[in-house]
Amino acid sequence: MQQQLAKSAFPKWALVLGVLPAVFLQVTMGLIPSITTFILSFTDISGVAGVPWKFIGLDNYKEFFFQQSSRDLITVLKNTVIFCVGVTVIQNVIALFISLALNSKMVKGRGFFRAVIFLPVVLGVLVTSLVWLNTLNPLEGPVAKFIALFGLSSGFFTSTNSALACVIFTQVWMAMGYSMVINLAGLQSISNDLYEAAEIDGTTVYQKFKYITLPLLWPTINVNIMLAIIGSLQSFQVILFTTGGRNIATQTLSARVVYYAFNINAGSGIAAMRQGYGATWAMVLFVFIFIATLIYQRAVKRRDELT
Amino acid sequence: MKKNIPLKIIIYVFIAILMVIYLFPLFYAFNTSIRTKLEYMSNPTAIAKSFHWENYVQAFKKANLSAYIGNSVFYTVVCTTTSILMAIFLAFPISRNYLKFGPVLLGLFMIGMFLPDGTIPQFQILLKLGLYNTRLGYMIGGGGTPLLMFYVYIKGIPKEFDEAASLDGCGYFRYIFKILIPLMKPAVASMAIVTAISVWNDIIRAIIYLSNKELYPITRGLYVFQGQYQVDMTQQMAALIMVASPIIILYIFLQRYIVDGIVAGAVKS
Amino acid sequence: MKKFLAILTILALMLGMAACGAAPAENSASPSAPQDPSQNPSSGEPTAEPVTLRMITWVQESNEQAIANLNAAFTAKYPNVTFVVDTVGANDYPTLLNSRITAGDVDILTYISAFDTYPQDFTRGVDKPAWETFILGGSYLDITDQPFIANWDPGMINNAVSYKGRVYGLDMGAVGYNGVFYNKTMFEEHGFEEPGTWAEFETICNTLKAKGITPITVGGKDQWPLTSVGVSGIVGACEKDFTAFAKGLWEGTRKLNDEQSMKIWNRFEQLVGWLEPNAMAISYGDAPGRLVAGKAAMMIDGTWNSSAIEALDPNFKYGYFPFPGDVDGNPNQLQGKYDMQFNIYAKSPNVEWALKYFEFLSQKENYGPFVSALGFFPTMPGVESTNAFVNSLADKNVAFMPSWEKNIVFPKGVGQYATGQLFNINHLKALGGSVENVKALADLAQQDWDAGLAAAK
Repeated sequence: MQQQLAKSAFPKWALVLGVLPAVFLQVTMGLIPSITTFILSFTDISGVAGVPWKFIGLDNYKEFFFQQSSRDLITVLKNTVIFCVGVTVIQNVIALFISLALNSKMVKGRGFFRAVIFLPVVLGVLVTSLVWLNTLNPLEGPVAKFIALFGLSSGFFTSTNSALACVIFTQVWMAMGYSMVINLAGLQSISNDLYEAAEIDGTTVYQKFKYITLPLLWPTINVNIMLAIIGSLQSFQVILFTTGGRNIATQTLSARVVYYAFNINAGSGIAAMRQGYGATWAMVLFVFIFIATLIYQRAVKRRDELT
Repeated sequence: MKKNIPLKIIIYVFIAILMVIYLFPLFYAFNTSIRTKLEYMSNPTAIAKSFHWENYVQAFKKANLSAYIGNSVFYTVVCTTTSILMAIFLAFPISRNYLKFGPVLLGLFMIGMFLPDGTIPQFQILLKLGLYNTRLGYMIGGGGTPLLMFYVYIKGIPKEFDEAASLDGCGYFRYIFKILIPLMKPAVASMAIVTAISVWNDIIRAIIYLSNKELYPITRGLYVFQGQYQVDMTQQMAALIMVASPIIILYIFLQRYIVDGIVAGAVKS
Repeated sequence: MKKFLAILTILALMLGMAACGAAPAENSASPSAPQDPSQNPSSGEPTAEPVTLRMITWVQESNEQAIANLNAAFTAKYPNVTFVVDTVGANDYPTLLNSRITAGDVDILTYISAFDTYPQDFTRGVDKPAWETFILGGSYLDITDQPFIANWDPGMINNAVSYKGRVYGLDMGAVGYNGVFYNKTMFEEHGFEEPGTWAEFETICNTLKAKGITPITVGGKDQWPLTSVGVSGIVGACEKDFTAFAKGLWEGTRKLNDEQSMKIWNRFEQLVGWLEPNAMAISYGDAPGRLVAGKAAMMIDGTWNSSAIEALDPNFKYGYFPFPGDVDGNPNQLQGKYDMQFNIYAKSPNVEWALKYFEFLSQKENYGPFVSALGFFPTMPGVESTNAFVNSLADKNVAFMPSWEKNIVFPKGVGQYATGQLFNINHLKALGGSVENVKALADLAQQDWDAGLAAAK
C-alpha cells in the first residue's frame, strides 16, 4: 500500500455495508465460477439437471488433444487467430482514420457521422447479424447484385471461402464505434498548442500526424488494441447468429465453448449438452487469451525499446 | 486550411463510403420490411413503391412483441440501477482510501478480466439455486460493475465535501444519494446509458437462462421469430425494425450524451 | 442539466412502464409452480379441475395443425384440459428442449426422431445421444406398463422408443426420405415417367437441363436437406445392406474411397450438377415454393413435407419417387425413419393428465385423423391413413426399411469430413465448400474416418 489509510468521515460499518452487495456478487457470480471452470473441466457434467456426473480425471483434455480430428482442431485454432488478428487490425486501423477525420475541424457534420458509426453498438449483436444476413443474401441480395456487375459472385455467409471474412466484417462494423469513441477521447486530450506551434514551424499534415498525433495517441491505441484482442477472442455472438454452430469454417474457440456447453443453434440435430467438455474448451481459450496478450505486450515492449 | 483541398476531398470521400456501408443495410432492412412478400420474392432489391405496414401488424402479433417489451424495460431498469448503485458504493471508499482492504477489493474486481470464462459454472450454480428460468437468475450474473470509471471520477471530487457533510450530521447513505451522486452526474448518466444498452441488447443470457416465454426480453422474441418464420423476410425485417426502433429513437435524443459521455469518461481515466 | 433532466424523465417513464409490464407477468409465472396436490390425485380418475398441459414442438406447418386438431378433440372430451403449445424453428428446437427439461417447465415433449443412432456391437467411442441423457436424468416417464402400449405396432415400440427394455415414448409414424418430389405436369409435358433406374433418371435430368430447366432444387441453406435427405437417397440407391456397409467401415473392410463408395460419390457429383445454382442459399422453407413456382422440376425432400406443397397450391400436381438404383425395382422403395416422438416429462405435476392424453392418442379413432394430418405412415395396426399423398405411395412402401442415416454412427471427435452421414457433399467447391472434387473429398473423408477410428476407445 503506497498510501496511508485515510481517516474516514463516515462510520466504518456503513462503508462496509455499502461495499458488501457488489463484493458478494463479484465473488459468487464472478470469481467462484471462473475458478470452478477449471474444476468442471475434469468432470463429465452434462447441463441437464438430474443427470449423474463424476470426476473423470484428464479424460476431457485427452479427448481435446487426441480424440478429435487434429485437422479440425487446427482449423478452429486458425480461425480463432484469423478472427482475432483480422478484427483487431482492421478495426483499429480504420477506427484511427475515422477518428482523425471526425476530429478534424474541416469536416462539417462531425456529430452526425460519429453518431452513425456508433449506431451499431446501440443496435446490438442480434439486430446487426440479421441486418447483414439480409444485405448479404446470395440469392439476388443487393451486394450480390452489385458484385455481379463486375462478374463476381459469392455465397457470403454460406460459403466456406467467404464465411469467415463476412463474419469478421460484420464484427468490425458492429464494434467500430467503440474504438472510434475511445480514439476521439485520446485525440481530444492532445493539447491544441502543440499543433499551433507545429503550424508556425510550417510542418505538413503527415509530419504532424507522425510526430505529434501518433506518439501522443499511442497509449489510447494500445488500450484499444488490447480491448479488441481480448474482446474478439471471447466473442462468438456474430458467428452464432450468422453462420450458426454447424459449419466448422467459422468456428472459433469461444464458439466451440458455447456449442458444447449449451448446444445453441447447433442445427436440427439434438446433441446432449456437455458442459464438462465445454469447460475444457473454456480453459484452452483462457490459455489462448493469456498467450495472445503476452505476445502483444512483448511486441509493444520491444517496439518501445527500439524507438 | 484552404491549402488542403485535396486532403479534404479524400476525407469526404472516405466518410461518404463509410456512411453508405453504415446506413445502406439499415435502409435496405426498412425497404424490405414495407414490401409485400410477393414483391420481395420477385425482386428483393427493388425500391418499395408503396408502404405495406401490414407486415408490421402481422409481425407484431406473431412475434408477440407487446409481451416482451415490458420485460426488456424491467430488466434494463433494474439491472442498470442496481449495478450503478453498487458500483458507486464500492468505488467511493476504495477511491477515498477509507478501507484497509480497499486495494484488495480493487484487485478482486480487476482480476476478473484475467480469469477463465465462468459462464458454465455460473449456469450450474444458478441451476442448483433454483434460479434457472427466473427473472432474478437471468439478471443476477449479467450486469458488469463500472467500477473503474467511478473510481477515477470520485478521486476528482474534493474530500472536503465528505468532512463538511459528516460535520453537518449527514449520514453516509444520505451523503451518497444527496451529494455525491449529483456531483457525479455526467459519469453516472453515461455509465447508466452504456449499461442499459448492454442489458437491453443481451441475447446470449436470454437464450441460456430463460425457457418460459413470459420471461423473454424482446431480443429473445426476435430470435425465436426469425427461426420460426424464416420464409417471410419482409415480416422478419418488420419485427427487427420494431425491436430496434425504440433504442434508435432513444439514441437520437441521447446521442450526444452517449458518445460524448464515453469520450469524457475515457479522457478522465 | 437539461440533458440530465431528460434522462431522468425517460428513466422515470421506463420505470412506469416496467411496473405495468411486471405486474401481469408475476401471475403468469404460476404454471411452472408446483400444482395444488388436489389436482393430481394419486389414484382413480383425475378430478375435473382446470389443467393446462404444456407442449413443445418445432416448426412444420402440418405438424402444428395436426397437434392443434388433436388437442381440440381432447379438450372436447375433457373440457377442463387446455393446452399451451410452444413452437420454435427446427434449428432452435434443441435449445428449447434442453432448456424446458432443465427448467421442468413442460408436460409433453416431442422428439425429432426415434431413439436411434445408438451404438451397435461393432462401434466404440460414440457420444451419448441427447435422448439417453434425458432418460438417465429421469426426465422421460417410463410408460412400459401402460395398457395403451398394446395398441401400437410392436416393431415401433421395440425399435423406436425402448431403452434397455423399458418404453419411454410413442412414435407418431414413419416417413420416407430417400427421394424427390416432382412436378407431374412438367414431367407429362416432356413425356417423362417416374424413373426406375439411375440411367433413366440421368436422362430426365440431362434433358431438362438441355432445355434450360433446372432439374432439382433443395433447401441447402439448412444443410440437412442435402446432407441427410439427399445422402440417404443416393446411398440408399447404391448400397443394399447398410448394416454391412457400416460394419465394414468400422472394421476397415470397406473404405469411403473404395470402388463401391466412389460410385456413390460420382452420383453425388452428377447430382450437384443438376441442382439449382445457389442451392446452398435456399432455406428449407423456401424450397417448396420454388418447386411449385416451376423454378425446378424436382425437390429433394422427405415425404412429410407434402402438406407444404399443398398449402402453396392445392391444385399443383406432384408425386414422389426414391432415387433409383441400377436395376429397375431395386430398390425403388421408400427408406426412412420413425418421425415425431411424444414423451411425457416425468417430473411434471400433470403426469396423470399427460397419460390420459397418451391413452386418448392410442385410440384408433383419434390416432387415425392425427396421422393422416401429419402425412406419416401409421404405426398402429388397423389404422389406414386418409392422406391421399401417403396412400399414393403404397406401392413404394412394401419393403420399408430404415435409411442410411439411421444405420451409421461415427466415433466421437471424428473430423468434419466424416461426421454426419459420412458423405458430406456440402464440402464440395460447387456447393460452397473448399474441396475441389469428389475424389479429393472421398480421400479426406476416409482420412478423417481412419483418424477417428484410431482415437476411438
